Amino acid sequence: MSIIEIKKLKKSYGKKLALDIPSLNVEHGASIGIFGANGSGKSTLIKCITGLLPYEGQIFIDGNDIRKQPSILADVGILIEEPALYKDMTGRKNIMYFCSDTTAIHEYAELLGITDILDKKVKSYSLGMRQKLAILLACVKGKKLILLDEPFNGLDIISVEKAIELLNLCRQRGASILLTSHQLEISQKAIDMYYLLKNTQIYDCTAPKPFGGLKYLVEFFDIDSVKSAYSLLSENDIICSLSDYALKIQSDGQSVSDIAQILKDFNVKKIEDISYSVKEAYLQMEIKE
Amino acid sequence: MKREFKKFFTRKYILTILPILIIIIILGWNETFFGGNKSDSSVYSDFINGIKPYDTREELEELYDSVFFTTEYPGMEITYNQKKNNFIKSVYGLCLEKNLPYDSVTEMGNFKYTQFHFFSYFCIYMCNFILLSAIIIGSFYQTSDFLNKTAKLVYTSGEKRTKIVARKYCVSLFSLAVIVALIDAIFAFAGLKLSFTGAKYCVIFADGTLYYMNYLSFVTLNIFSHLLMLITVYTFVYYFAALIKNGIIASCAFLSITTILLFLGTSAQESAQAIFTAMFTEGLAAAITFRPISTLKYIALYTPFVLSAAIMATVTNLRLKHSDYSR
Repeated sequence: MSIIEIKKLKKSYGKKLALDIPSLNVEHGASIGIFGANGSGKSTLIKCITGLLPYEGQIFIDGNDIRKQPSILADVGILIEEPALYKDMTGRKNIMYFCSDTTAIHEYAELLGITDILDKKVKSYSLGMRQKLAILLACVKGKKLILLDEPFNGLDIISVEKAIELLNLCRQRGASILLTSHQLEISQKAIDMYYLLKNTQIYDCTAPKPFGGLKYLVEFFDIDSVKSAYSLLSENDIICSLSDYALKIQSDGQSVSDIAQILKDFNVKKIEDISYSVKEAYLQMEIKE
Repeated sequence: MKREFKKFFTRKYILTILPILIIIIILGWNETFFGGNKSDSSVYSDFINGIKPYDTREELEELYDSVFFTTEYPGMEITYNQKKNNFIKSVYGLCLEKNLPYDSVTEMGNFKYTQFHFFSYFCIYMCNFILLSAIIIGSFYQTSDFLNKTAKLVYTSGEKRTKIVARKYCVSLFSLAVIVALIDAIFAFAGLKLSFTGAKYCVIFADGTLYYMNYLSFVTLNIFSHLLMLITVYTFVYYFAALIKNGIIASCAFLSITTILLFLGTSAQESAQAIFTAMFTEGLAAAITFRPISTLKYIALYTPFVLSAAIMATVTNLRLKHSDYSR
């Protein structure tokens, strides 16, 4: 049974179709990222999954239709768009108001580094603190599933790292994660499956890749080798681009060893597989369209 | 429910509500026991002065027969003298029915003509308080989640939307009901001390009908009528605000209607405020004193209000499931 199962989902705002997803399954324990341009429907998708927005089709969380059995949402942590919390309540009281089981609150708060502000009123928090508290709330509540919409907004690099660490800990404890973000490179550390939302459709960007294929970054010790290798690869109909002491290769099925074999006579420093760059995939998709 | 109560009854709420309560009581006290008595009693003291003394039951029967009673119908306009005669005849009738002592009626020792000393001003005052507080709290308590953007968290907590809305409704209504009952109790105690020493019956004269009851019934009537008014108005406002998910529009709409209805006099020089108060209170008075015809009449008057509140709650509950709660 999937943690999220979407069937024939359609969501329109007036006459404008915002989402048209025939099918989507997210397995238990998976961590998926959904990317897309502004207004592509990322937040709309999360709002549909949580039942906040009315929609056509069916959405199941852990086998439960959320419209008929909303009680499943009691184990779903949610952060949508901005950290909206009760400002006159302390951070701890906010969490206790929304979660029935708050046993993990201390451990998670410590991991995020916000233990000392938990008993202060939310109105005294900065944006970053509110964001961290909202992530904490989502993680404490989301025992089965954590839905995060732009979770790293307003966070400094260290806080992002801590948040990712917390998300990974939640995954180890059985929670599945679905997040949307514009910060592709950062989010990559917390997810292992990527989806792209574009023109109301959703595309699976995880292997097998529908676009781009395998990609390598080959670095050389000298600039002459770069130029020569570029010529050789072009002669072998391998698409590549120059970049200082490196070459970006778009492979047509060749493995690392195949590339290494072709370039054996050159002064190669290292060959790095960059196929799984979400950013690359996203940009490729955008260019392709 | 427990969590909702904890959230509602915060220290800030109590510290805010306490001074407001004290101001309400001080203002209401002044209006009820000082401001209201003068003008009101000057209008209706003529009614009471029209009651002639008697020594025997025969004399009382003669007096009763000598006064002509004009039957009133809803919407019917009667003259001042007709109204006065109706009151006097009703009092004689009550004296006969209760076989009251024949030497004490001149000073109205057995009665307190409550409607014009304590009752009406307090009721109108409470009517204003109930309407304003119900409109403001009813409009904003649930919809503040949309203003604060917390609705996204509240309505994904795993409970049904109707249950969440109903829980918030119960908690906020209960808090208002406690305040209303508290004010009623304070004024009832004050009324007992100041206005009702020695009185056997509390009398309410409305639309040609004389209602009488003891003080405890009178206090109960007050509290119940106020609570009924609160529940009706609050339910309508709360569920309307929940339906449109906008407290600002709801409060503006209801405050405008209330201002027009309550503070601008009608052509009959009787403000809707008085009608509204009478509708609830006298309707209940009729019900308590078991006047079948009157009861039907007054219940018919306030039934549309109660029904409309129930319909609003039902329609909102039906719409909740299909509403957009993503704001």
